[in-house]
Amino acid sequence: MNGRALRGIARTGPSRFRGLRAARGVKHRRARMLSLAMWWALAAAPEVVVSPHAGARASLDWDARTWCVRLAPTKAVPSGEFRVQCDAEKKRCLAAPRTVLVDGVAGEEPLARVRDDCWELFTGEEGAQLLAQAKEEGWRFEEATAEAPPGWYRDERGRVMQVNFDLGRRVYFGGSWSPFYRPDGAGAWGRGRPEVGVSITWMGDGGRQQHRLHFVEGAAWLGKSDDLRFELSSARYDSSVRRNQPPLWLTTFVGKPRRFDLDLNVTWAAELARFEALGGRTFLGVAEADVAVDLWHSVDPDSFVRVRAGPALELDLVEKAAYFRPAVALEADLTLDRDGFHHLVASALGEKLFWAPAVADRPGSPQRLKLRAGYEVILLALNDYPLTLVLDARATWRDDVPTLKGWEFQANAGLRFSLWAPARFSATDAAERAR
Amino acid sequence: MALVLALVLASPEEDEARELLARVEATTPPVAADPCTAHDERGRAFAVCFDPWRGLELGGGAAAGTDGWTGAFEVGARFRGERESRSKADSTWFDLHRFGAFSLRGVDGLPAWRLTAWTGAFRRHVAEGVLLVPTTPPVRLPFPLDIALAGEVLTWERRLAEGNDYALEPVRLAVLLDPLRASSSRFHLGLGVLASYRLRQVSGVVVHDVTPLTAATLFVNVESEEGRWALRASGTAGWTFGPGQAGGAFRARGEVDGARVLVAVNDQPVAVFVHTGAAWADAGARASSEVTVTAGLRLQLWSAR
Repeated sequence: MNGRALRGIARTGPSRFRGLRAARGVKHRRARMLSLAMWWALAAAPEVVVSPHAGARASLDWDARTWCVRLAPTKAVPSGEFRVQCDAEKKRCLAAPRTVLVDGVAGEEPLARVRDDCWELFTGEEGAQLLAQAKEEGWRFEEATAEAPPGWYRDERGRVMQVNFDLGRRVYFGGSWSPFYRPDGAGAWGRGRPEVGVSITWMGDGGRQQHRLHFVEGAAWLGKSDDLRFELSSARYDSSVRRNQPPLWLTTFVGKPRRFDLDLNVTWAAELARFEALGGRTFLGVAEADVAVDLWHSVDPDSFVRVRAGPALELDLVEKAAYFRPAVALEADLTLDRDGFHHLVASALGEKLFWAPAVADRPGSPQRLKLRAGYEVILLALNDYPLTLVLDARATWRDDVPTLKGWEFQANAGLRFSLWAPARFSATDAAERAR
Repeated sequence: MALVLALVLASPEEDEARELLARVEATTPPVAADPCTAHDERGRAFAVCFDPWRGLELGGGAAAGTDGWTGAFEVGARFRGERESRSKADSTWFDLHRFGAFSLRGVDGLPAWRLTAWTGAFRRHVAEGVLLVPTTPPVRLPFPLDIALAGEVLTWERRLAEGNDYALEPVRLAVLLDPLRASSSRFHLGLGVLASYRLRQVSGVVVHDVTPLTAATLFVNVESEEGRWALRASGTAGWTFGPGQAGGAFRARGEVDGARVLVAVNDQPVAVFVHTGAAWADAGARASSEVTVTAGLRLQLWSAR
């Protein structure tokens, strides 16, 4: 009997147990307790000795079936209670303590984030058979570390910590030093920039589309009292898609006819209620609707380079005027490593305001050009919430605000603390695929 | 059939069933692959045959004329028909139609356009052409020509360089004989005579032009089998008459259009075309003479076969 067959048999154990759990009433509860005691007795093998690990300590596999058994007590595990995974082909079993080690000895704190609790995953008759086979054939039992979920790591004491972060799903707040420079001589070194934001992403269309929603992303520039600025985007949506069928293909008829697929991944984006207050002006972008084309995106598709363009309606709350604002943007958001520690963002956004009323020292159809490049890296995690270093540089050219016409350059260096930030979809999806 | 055979194959009469299956396979002709659909190495299909006389046509390019270079634009819808004659057995009507043909270019630095509501041709192809002499008894002589009609309805031509002048031709009709007698709509060669009526406003004065079958006309259409090459030509030359035009006026015009499909976008072909037009005392409201050559690209939507 090979390992796969054994695992197949073994999987019937928990389901039978769950059937018992579903039972209601005293009679059924008694029957259940009796069954548990019986399986526990069958799963005990106190004569089996767990050997110290040879070389690096192995970890249990998150996707393999785990048995909970009582083996011979060891110095580290005096109770002899272990989580065990066996490989029938190698005739080897890995045994991990069921509790966190304190001073090298299994304590009372149960392991966090194990796939199935031992009490839930009771060994069952087939597990007892497997154990019996292991005893009979003299399989080797080695010390190991318990399994950890995808995107998480368990240390030798059995404590678990997140090592893979999705910064596309987070509630963040932070602050940065934000000096700026203007060619006209204005500018300041002493300026700060607090910020907040909420990002949500979810997968759709069988993992081929990623939807992104951003709420209340805002920042304020605090420095000189006569140049306070504020920016807030109430809600913004965009997505990336990897289509099964190309929306556009080209056939050439020079020589043998040949077809070339143009994998244009066209999606849409929208923004509602974008406030911007600066230089004595306040603008409210009521709504913007864009067509977006991903020039490239990763398979996840967390990373992308895209072009986005579309119209918007904007209000000038000082002039009490409404503008038609077409915009075009080239944007890149790149996650550079598998665990989501390094991120690059870059964007170039051009906007033009039509139907603008005549304002002194302002052209008839003002324009804005905003360039940005930034880098964010996770420095450490507090209770599995990442703290990141954020560096970015921005350049803006605009003539819609008479007091801030022309170029302006700013740099930001600061820290950002993110709540939520679960493991990336790519980590959990890989685990799902392997299952 | 497959289900029945599968059931039979599972029965004890397996050998008989296999023999039956072999016989069925031997007598069933293989399914012919669609010659107008090709597949790439990933198995995705794409069209390789097009109908030059079907779909919405959009073209643009550059035109060179006696007055220099200019841009050119054209749009129109084409439709090809074919049906068996209901009244005459063993004969087929091949017809070609173009609706809403609009062309725009520059003449003397100002826009000039031409709009034709309908233009087209009908050809009646007979398996065996016969000329019947109604003697007693009737005499049946071979007649190696198909009879065809070609025409235009409502053509409006305007050149801003001519001020407010315009030309409006309500109808133009030619009776043609086709010596090719092709049994396909891909080939037409019509030679015949033309009748037409046209109004021209010249410097505020309306002029009537009548051509009472006094002009010779030519109509040509040639296409490759898969529709990627197309050549069209037409021309008229003859005398028109009208009040104050004693003896008539000789006018001629002709055009040749060649197109080759180079690429297709989502199975919609884009062809490169060269169009040459020439007129002798027949261009615009003022009946001028000119030669133009236009080259460009033409997209023909919904023309994949």
